Amino acid sequence: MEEAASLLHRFGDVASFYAGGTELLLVMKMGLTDLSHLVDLKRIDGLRSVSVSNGTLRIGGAATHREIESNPLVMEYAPAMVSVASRIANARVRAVGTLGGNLAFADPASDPATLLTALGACVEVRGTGDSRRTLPLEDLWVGAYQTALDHDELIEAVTIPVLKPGTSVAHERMKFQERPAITVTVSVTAVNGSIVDARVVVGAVAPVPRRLARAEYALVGLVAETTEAGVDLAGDAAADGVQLLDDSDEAGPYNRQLTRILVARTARQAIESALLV
Amino acid sequence: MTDVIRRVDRQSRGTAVGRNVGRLDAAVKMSGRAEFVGDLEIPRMLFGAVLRSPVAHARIVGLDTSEAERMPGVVAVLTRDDLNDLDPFYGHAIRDRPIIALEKVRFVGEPVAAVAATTVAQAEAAILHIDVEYEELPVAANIASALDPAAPILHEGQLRSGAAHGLGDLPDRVGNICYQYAIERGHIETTDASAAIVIDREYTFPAVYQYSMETHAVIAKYSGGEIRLWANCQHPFLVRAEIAMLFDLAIEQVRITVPFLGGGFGSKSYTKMEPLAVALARKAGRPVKIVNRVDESMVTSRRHGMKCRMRTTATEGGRLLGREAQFWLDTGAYADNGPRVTATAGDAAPGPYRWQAFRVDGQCVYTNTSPSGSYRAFGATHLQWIGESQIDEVARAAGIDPLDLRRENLLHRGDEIRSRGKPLDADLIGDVEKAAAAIGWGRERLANRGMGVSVGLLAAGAHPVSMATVKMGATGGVAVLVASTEMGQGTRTVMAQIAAEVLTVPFSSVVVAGADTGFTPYDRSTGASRSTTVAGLGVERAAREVLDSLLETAQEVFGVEDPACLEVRDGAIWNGTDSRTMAELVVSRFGFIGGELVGHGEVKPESGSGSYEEGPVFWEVCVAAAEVEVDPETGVVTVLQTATVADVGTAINPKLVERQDEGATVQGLGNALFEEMIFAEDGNLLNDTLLDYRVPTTMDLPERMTSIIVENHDGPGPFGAKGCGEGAFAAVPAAIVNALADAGVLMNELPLTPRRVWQRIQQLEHRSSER
Repeated sequence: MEEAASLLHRFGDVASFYAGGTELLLVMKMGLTDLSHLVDLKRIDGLRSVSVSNGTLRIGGAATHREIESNPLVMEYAPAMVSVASRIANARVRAVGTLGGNLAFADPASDPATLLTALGACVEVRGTGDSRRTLPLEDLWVGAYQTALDHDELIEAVTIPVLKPGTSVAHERMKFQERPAITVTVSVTAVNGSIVDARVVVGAVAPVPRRLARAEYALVGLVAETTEAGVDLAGDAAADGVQLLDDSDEAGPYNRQLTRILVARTARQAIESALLV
Repeated sequence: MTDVIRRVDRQSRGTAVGRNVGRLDAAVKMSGRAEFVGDLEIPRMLFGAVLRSPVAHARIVGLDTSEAERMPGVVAVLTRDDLNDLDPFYGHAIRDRPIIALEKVRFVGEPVAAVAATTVAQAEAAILHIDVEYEELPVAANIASALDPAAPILHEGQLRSGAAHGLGDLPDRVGNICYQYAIERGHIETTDASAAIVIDREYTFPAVYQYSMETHAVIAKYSGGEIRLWANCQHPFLVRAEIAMLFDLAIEQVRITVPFLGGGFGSKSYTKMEPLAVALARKAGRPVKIVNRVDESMVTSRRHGMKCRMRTTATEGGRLLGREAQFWLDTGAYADNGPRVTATAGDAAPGPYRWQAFRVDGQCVYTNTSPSGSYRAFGATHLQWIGESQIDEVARAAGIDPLDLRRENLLHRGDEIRSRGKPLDADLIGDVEKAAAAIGWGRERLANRGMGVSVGLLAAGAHPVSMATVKMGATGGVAVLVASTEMGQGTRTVMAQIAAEVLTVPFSSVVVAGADTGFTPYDRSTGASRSTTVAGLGVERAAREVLDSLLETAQEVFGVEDPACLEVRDGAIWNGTDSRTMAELVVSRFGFIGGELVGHGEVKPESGSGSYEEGPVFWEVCVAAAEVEVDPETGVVTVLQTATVADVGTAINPKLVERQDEGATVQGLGNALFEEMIFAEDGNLLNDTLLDYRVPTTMDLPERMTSIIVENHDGPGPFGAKGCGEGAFAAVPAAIVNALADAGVLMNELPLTPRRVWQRIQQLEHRSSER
């Protein structure tokens, strides 16, 4: 890993890390980048491993979507991640595409990005020399296709805190083209039949997946009887609060509507499941 | 998933026709051994790459290839300067397209230069080192801007007619309008007097891409007054004629071999990349292969986008009176098949109803976008959803069930469709009733759900000129030489069935090779649902000639005067209980274990010239029904079920008929729901990748697709067959649009994207709240 980082450092702008290549090779084929060196991360020991310790699930940055969707530890500790990974793109992409690559590419239409933000995940980042740091996902992205990573930094692992008891996660998306038009994750924690904590994250319509605080407030305190009205309020709050990638006259109103409807539907699903337990 | 309803009123059959034999090409394709143009290599072959224009309309004021010529592996760079000894314009309808851009470029993606190099990578690297200086011109990127009086004119001067459009004398160009088609019956003005219901709207239909999985590919070899091509073209004989004309050779000096096509759907009809490949091979002095990327094929051929205004009138009781339609098809920078698409759209515009009067005026418009050509059920797909949407509006206004309204107003068998054209040759009422019944028409509607039917006709068969040869050797094996190109539709299988049926031999003893203009006899084209009907008739006739020779020999062998005493059965000829196998008869004939019987089958117009005006060969029936559900909160439309009718006369291979209708249904669904090429004002195609241009997948299939085969044995083809495979494409979008209107959302623009549908719902809610 250290060697990989130093190679990037040495070759500079004409080099790139290369994992699954499902995004990178497209960009290269389209002539959007002119790279002369690719540093292959796939064969680095440990970069594809999955482990659990201290209430945290740790997935290696070069683990493929296919490996994640079929991993028993992920199944046990983050079942939502299995269901999301199993629906990414298609079987060919899942077989080679990696989680670290997906997050580092910062495509707004990433499914795992939205889910992992809601789960409070972090990335462990390695750079040249001893450089190591841990970033909450929310700090990883600074804009569409832009991350806070330095050129020679790679995502070593993604850490996902194990869900608190009483927590339910729902993830929904709508897909009109090859990539999702909107992704929504709602995570809620119920104690004694009442929602005490909520996270609402909206992606794909936005440049980066973001938590929407006012939508979250709308969910906290809900009980079975108030769920219907509460999720609609959360939908309205999300539609107001979301920062849209395309807010043109033509697309903006519809993108807000999608946000409104999908947040309400996803929240309803998460709450019903949390209150059932 | 597919329910099949078949009428069981067929005549008894012999060995092959009417049977679901497996496809001849299934094993070789499933095992990856089938060869396509991209797989072929010929000695000394180079690879070509094409430099394409980044601007939609410009004068080329400088073109410097010197650096590219010095790049590693580069053998030749082709530009306009290499064409000075030729008349470089082609186009089967209008000779408006140069082999490579001359003084101007007219669309983003137009070839400006081409490189032949030892490897693909070298060729691709070299085109980046060609310097082109453009002086940009005003751009007309859509119909409205091309029709503006101040619009830039794409093609100045007199247009020259191509040789193979079959449309009579082409009218003169008017501005950017390259072709007009008008038909009229009665006096439309007089029908207004009794009109109580008037539906008058404007409509928009998107440009879409045919998306065959295999892109355009060609290998060209030019040597000493002879051109050889290996190309994935649907119409090799028409391409041969154009190549011969361009390079000033006799047509016999051009030979085109067509291996399997990885899908066509019209995208590979007529001439595409072949002239450029030949010119590059001529310059290089070595064979050259060019294989398009998907984004290159997207600007090589597409379906016409369209604007339309239609007006339908009816009495209060729902008796249809008159229809007026005006439409403008966006043919892009070169006419390609635009004129024919315009005529076929014009014929589809009235719809098969008993009008007192109609008037149709279609115009084919040049724009600074990529050229538009053929796509499955062209013309009919453009107009049927519009006409049928207005029929349903009339039904709603009159308070009549849409199916009943159709029963009252549809044409009957034998009725005139347009003057000089073939009268109706099908039972449309019976067809639409079957489609409606299949989706449970009349069932109570659930909220947000709707049902729709649609009926239309497609002028099919193209020019009825096809030949075929059938040969039988001394072992009784049969070879069919016919130039219909196998592009996944199963034509080779069907041709084998026809020959097997005539000769009463096992289907497995028949071999059908691909098209090769050097050996297979002439066939006009593979398209317009014509192969089974027209080329198939040629195969039947050729096989009958072989049979006649066998009977002649049998008469001698048995010493029988009257051939009527002989019976043909099980690959043998019988004289009472005495018989000779066909192989034995061939050996008797030649007195040698060798020789072969050769039968020739010829199909030409039954009367007249076979021109478009006198046609079509048959009217392909376009009938479907659909049930949809709409999510009013998101605008997402889900097609729950479809039913289509293949009114095929006789199904030579029923399973292949079903697969045709299913494929057409899925493509129709894509065209109706989400496919759309989006061109910016500057003429750039904004979604030229499959990430942004979505084609249907298995995930888009309706829960239930019903394919109904109707066999009335009334077709002009072999054994009463008539073509299929396109009608469902025209019918399905129309049925979906009508089903959505039945659910409360009347649309006048395709595709029915969630955003567009939601915006329409907002509009409708806004209007009803204002009331």
